[in-house]
Amino acid sequence: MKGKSIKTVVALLTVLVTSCGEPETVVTNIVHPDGSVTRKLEMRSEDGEIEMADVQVPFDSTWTIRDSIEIDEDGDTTWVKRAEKFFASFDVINMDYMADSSSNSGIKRRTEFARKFKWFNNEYRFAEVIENTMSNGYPVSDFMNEEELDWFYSPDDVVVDKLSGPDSLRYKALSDTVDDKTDKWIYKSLVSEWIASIAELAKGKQGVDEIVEKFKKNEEHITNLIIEEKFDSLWSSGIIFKEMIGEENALRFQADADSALENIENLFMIDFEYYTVRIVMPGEIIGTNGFIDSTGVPLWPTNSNYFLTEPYVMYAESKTPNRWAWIFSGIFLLFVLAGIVFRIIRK
Amino acid sequence: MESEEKKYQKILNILKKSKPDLQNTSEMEENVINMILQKKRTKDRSYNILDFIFGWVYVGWMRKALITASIIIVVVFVYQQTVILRRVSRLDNRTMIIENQMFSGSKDEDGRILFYRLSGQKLPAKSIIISEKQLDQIMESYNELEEKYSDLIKLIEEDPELKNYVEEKLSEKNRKKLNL
Repeated sequence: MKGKSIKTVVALLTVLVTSCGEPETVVTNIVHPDGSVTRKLEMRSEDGEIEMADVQVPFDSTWTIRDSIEIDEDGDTTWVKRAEKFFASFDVINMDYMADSSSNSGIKRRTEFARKFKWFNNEYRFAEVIENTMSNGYPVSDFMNEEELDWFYSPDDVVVDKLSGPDSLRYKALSDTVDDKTDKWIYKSLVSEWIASIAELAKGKQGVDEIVEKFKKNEEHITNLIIEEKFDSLWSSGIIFKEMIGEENALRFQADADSALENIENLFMIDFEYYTVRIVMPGEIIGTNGFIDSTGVPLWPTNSNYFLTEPYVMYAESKTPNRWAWIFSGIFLLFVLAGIVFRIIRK
Repeated sequence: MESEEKKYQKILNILKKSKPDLQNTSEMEENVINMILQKKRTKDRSYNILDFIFGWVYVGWMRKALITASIIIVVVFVYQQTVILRRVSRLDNRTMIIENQMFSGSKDEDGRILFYRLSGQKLPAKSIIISEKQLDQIMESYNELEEKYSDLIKLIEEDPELKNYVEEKLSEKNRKKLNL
């Protein structure tokens, strides 16, 4: 069964792979202290000129665009498109996201900005958020510990480097564990979403609550069946359904269950082209959940798994000192101290 | 010795009696008085400025309020700096520094493949896009698997007894599957 599945997938992939020419894109948000943002895009493609529709984030002719071609030592050509636009506030970026016609228009994205006055410092927080596609799934953090989560959120570059570098055996074991846990997480979330979808579709039908309850109780069991790769045959033969909810109910709810599976497929089949997000913050960085590049700027990879069941929040926090507050506080402290000394002398 | 003492007393008496004849004594007197008054006035003025600046030290509630405010400022400063330093050090420990400014590749198709394995559906044409690197990885894994199991399959095929045993086990497994 396993061999067959792998062979089928490999064969299909070999035949159906149609393209791998999406541009490598990096989105850089330069956040200013007043909340305005200069957004820069850099797109690189080795497969010819980059079309606007290929770009992973909202982008149009109102941007300042520069096209160039780079030819390396081997004579390979890379088409580079650079674009830049000033946004008066994060709300304007969100408006662009709402009218998104990019290659990733199927997903919901937004930005957040917050500034806090804390007397000695001003603190800033900027975040790019990709909303979750499933609403009934489980958080990945329920399945993995901190080290595994770090691995899960690592981009391929980092993973490949670690797997081929020193301590590769340890990383291989970690990678295998994360893969297994990822499977379990996805399957369990999928089953949960499927059950919720059945409940929604069969709403109002007699006995639906009881059926949903039975499925909920068997959620773990169904997940294990999928992991053991027994689900395909049992589902197509209708055995799962009959065993869990009885033959009569199986007949009544079969259509809803099939429709529910299609609904999940729609959630799962959202086209998503990965890209890199960078955030340049004002002042000194004091918090982020991303990686730090060689220039000290936080950056994040994107992947559809990251926002499957929870919003993927890419945030950076920074601070700038309020010089005047430091000077004022210093003078005030000296004044009070001098007053105390003066009193002691006069006594 | 005694005569010397007498001589000294005599000279002293003569000097005492012959006082200098001072002119403008009133002017001198006035000058001396002015000098003394000026010194006193300067002393008074400096005392008033300091008292004016630090007068609050003699007002109980004001003294307490300003000292409390100073303590609050110091506490807030120490707390804020500690929190910031802690966050920065946590950032140093957690964050990985990498050379790249752009990530390449992604494991984006994993979920889709899982879904198709779950639902037993076929992958529709045009809806799957994977990178060459990912395709290479899949092919490598497939070859590795094929290589790993080829010896085993050969071994089973060559031994009829083993073949029967495996077939029996497989059918047993299938029966179990149906008896959920």
